[in-house]
Amino acid sequence: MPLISHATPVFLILFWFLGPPLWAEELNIYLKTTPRVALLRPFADPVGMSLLVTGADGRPINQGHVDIRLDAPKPGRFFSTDFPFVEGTRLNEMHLGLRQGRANWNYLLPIRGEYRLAVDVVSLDGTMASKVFAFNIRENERKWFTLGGFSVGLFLLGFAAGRIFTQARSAAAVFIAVALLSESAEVSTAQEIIKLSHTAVLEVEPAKVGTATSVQWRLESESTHEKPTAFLTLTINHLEKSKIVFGVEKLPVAGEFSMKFQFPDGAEYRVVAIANIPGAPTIRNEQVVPVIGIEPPVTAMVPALSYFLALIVLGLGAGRWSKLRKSSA
Amino acid sequence: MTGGAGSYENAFHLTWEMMLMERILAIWLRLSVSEQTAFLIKSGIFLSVCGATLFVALAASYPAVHDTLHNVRHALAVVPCH
Repeated sequence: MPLISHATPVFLILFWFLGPPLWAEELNIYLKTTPRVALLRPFADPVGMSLLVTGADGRPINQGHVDIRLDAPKPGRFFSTDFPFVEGTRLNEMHLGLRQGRANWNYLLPIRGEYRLAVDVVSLDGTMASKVFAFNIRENERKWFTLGGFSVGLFLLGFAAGRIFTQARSAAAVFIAVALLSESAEVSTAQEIIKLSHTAVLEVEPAKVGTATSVQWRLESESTHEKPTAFLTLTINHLEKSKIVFGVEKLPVAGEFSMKFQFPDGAEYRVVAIANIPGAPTIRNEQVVPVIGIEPPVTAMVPALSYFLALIVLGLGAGRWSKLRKSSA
Repeated sequence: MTGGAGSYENAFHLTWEMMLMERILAIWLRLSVSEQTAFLIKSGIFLSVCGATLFVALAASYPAVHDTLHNVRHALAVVPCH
């Protein structure tokens, strides 16, 4: 019996088992940011994120939904970012409906580094596809410039001190300075539910930096059988910075929308939900969320302080060398 | 007017003699250190003061300090803040 006659049923069996996943790959997922990734900077302006899902023919799929998970960059090797508790954590997790193959939202990326956006798509006919997008956000150049200037300043301070301390004198006077600082900054908040409308409820869990918080909007209709589709506009504003950190516009939701969202900064945020239901007045819910900040761990502070002190030590050495070289010449 | 014709020279000699006496006293009491040791002592004290100042300015969470220097901390890119 020829070998090819044995191979045919084997291929058929393989095709039978591997067929559905191969069909699932027929969905194409594209991510677009506005502005483009190269121009994005952390904690600057909210970025418009747009997912496009198309079929094998390149046309956007009609209906479906996406599950989105956004993970923050992992901690760096030496230096921390200015939000160390955010590093390596889940920033956002939500379930969005697709409209003409698209899902749009706004998001303020808090720190520099490589973000990972995992997308799971399910179309109306049950076809599934997944993709992970990784994109790198560069630090604001102005911050690097400021850090450079501060470093030069510390070096010059050490240099001047090194020159002053290098003298052929004896018996140094000893000054002992002890600085004791204590701190107590605790803000505690309680869960609060604001119910401005009789037809919708906005619930936000007590929020804390470093952990994702549940944000839930729910339509309360007198009819228990069916809840109308509402077009929900949800925005989260950083009140101190006057920045939008998250937003979706006119998202079609069937009575309920919930997501996991991490508030990156210990400050007050305003969550506003505006729902438009055809044939009904606009429903608006609003809640101010005080987010509990956490003191950064010592391990995150040590590298930066060590770096600054090392610059002063270098300056001291350079100043002493400069003074000795001049006096010996 | 108490200063006479040679008062400036007298004051100079007096100051010089006082400095000399201080040095003699320091050596006699074994308080004198070498220039290198003096530099190390001064540098150590200076670094301690600088370290304490940097810690308070950039790392302490004392509200008054934190709120005043909050933007500076974020502007330095590598300083953690809550």
